[in-house]
Amino acid sequence: MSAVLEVRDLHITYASSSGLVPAVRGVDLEIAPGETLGLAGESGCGKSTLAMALLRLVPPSTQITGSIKLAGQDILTMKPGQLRAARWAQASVVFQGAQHVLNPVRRIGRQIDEAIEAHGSASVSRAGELLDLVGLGARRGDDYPHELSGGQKQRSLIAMALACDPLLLIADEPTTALDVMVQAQILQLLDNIKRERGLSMLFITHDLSVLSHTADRVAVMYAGRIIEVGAGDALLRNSLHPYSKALTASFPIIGDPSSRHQPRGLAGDPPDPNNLPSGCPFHPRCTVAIDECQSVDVQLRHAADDEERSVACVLVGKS
Amino acid sequence: MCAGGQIMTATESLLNVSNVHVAYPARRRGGKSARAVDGVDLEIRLGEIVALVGESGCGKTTLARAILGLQKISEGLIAFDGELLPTSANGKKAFRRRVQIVFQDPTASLNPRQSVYEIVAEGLRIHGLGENEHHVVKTALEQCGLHPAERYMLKYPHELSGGQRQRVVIAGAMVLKPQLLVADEPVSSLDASVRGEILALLQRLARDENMAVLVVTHDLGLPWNIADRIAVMYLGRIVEIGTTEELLANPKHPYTQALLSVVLEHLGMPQQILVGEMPDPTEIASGCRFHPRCPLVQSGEAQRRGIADRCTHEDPLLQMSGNQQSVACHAVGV
Repeated sequence: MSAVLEVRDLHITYASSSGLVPAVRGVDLEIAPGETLGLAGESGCGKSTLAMALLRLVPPSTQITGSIKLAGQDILTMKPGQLRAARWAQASVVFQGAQHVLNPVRRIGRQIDEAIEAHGSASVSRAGELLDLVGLGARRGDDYPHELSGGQKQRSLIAMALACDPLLLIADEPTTALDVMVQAQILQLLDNIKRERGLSMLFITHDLSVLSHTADRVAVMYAGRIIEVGAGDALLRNSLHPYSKALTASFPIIGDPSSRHQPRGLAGDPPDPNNLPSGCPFHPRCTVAIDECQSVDVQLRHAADDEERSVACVLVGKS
Repeated sequence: MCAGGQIMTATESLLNVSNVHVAYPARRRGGKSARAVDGVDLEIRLGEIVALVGESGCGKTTLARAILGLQKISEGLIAFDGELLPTSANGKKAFRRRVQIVFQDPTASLNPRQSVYEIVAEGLRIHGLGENEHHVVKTALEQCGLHPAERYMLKYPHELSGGQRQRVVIAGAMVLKPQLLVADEPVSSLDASVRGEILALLQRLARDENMAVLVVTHDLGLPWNIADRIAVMYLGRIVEIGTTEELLANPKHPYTQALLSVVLEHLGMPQQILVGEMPDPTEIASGCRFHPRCPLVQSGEAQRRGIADRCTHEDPLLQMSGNQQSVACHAVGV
């Protein structure tokens, strides 16, 4: 079966007051039916820009090149009417910060029906059914957003994203503002829904620990590019790129003596997209960089000892 | 541990919180007050790092504010260095030099119109410690990892990264050489790679300056990184407290066990996801405040052990269980 989402050589450049900002610089990725891809990276790495571009939800002045195929159709060449039909019905988004996404003066159920009216075709209200599905209960459809807790709002956003039976769910930091227990509840919910409906999911997060539970495959982004991609558990347990290594090490394993009283981080700051370092953009922060790293910008390539793994680092063997 | 009402004056004890309650009055007439902090005992010793762990709404920030003297308590006692928190203006000022705070979001806590130098020097000026100001500011900035200090002194907050801003906030606290630093979610708004750097800094400062740190967090990984002891809070009460090693290796309260299971699931531990969310502090259940969500009660385990009745009717007190661990649960030891 062909991929639900296939992105090839995607470049996204913002126009800002300080000139053109290359936020995404050549990304390839694909998501198979029923698969969850975790996209991890820190603020400013381009992960949210990438997610928004998948449905062309970026400012009109933004330059996008490459291709984004959703169920075989290229999003970037679609006419407005086609795009409108693809949004929500083929792919929908669960945004971060549920507090700010919901309309505060509309009842939850009404907001869900609006999404269906705008993008789908159902003539009867499905809000109740969807709210039941996400464990909120149909009766909460009469509530206003302020009557719900953070976790409940996030559940209602998930209900809204499912309203038109999409093939792909794009979840942008869906659990970031939530408490650990509520976060676990939401992850479990997303996992159940994904299994029951055979959904594909793009799960974007800065918190790698969330992905261990959720993602079949994980891609790590740095400075607008994917620098490592591979099977979820294998990558999180044994990352090969020095940046992914630093990122995984910064989440302590409770009970592991090597991290007790040893918080680990990464010195330096992410690069300014307007002024990227030469060679590998990570080399100024890299603890194992060699001379070559200042001049050679390695593309993603297969790692020798893991078929499913690709890494963009001179130190990680060629296939 | 601090026994009910009595203030300990052991030499190593720095802060003693004893049976502290904070109740916010009801919004409407006839409504119930919100018992945000509902009877907390806590001791912090000189130079130790204590993590206060809990979810939003558990009262951890209110308790931290009460310790800082920023929140009036409705019952109980708080003593710092053997004396009750001061009420006079002069006493408060002196106290505030010795106890400093670091908030979650460094962008919100820094004045955007002040340079780094002015931000760090402000505390010195307020407390009349302006002698040798330039040297003190420079030392504090470098101690907090911003060196050479000259490179940062004239910058403004918007010219710094999130991690650098938090270092400036910490430097502003450190110039006053506090004995206690209260850090409220000091890394939760920072990127993962910066998180470890800031935690390492807090740990180093605590050791070098023999400064106690109370770090308020929702993340159980943070105490494993830096804390000597952990207090777990649920709905206004500390339900379990102990050394980090003891408590994380062998959590005894069902709430702690559940919290730990959801962060440890990558180790293949079965997840214990609790149903529902933390209740409103106006509606604290009778008996054990955790019983409506407790897996032991829900699974019938409490019934089998013959404690179900106590769980629903009798408020459990923190009791020693293990070396330095205390737990408020009827099931422990049954």
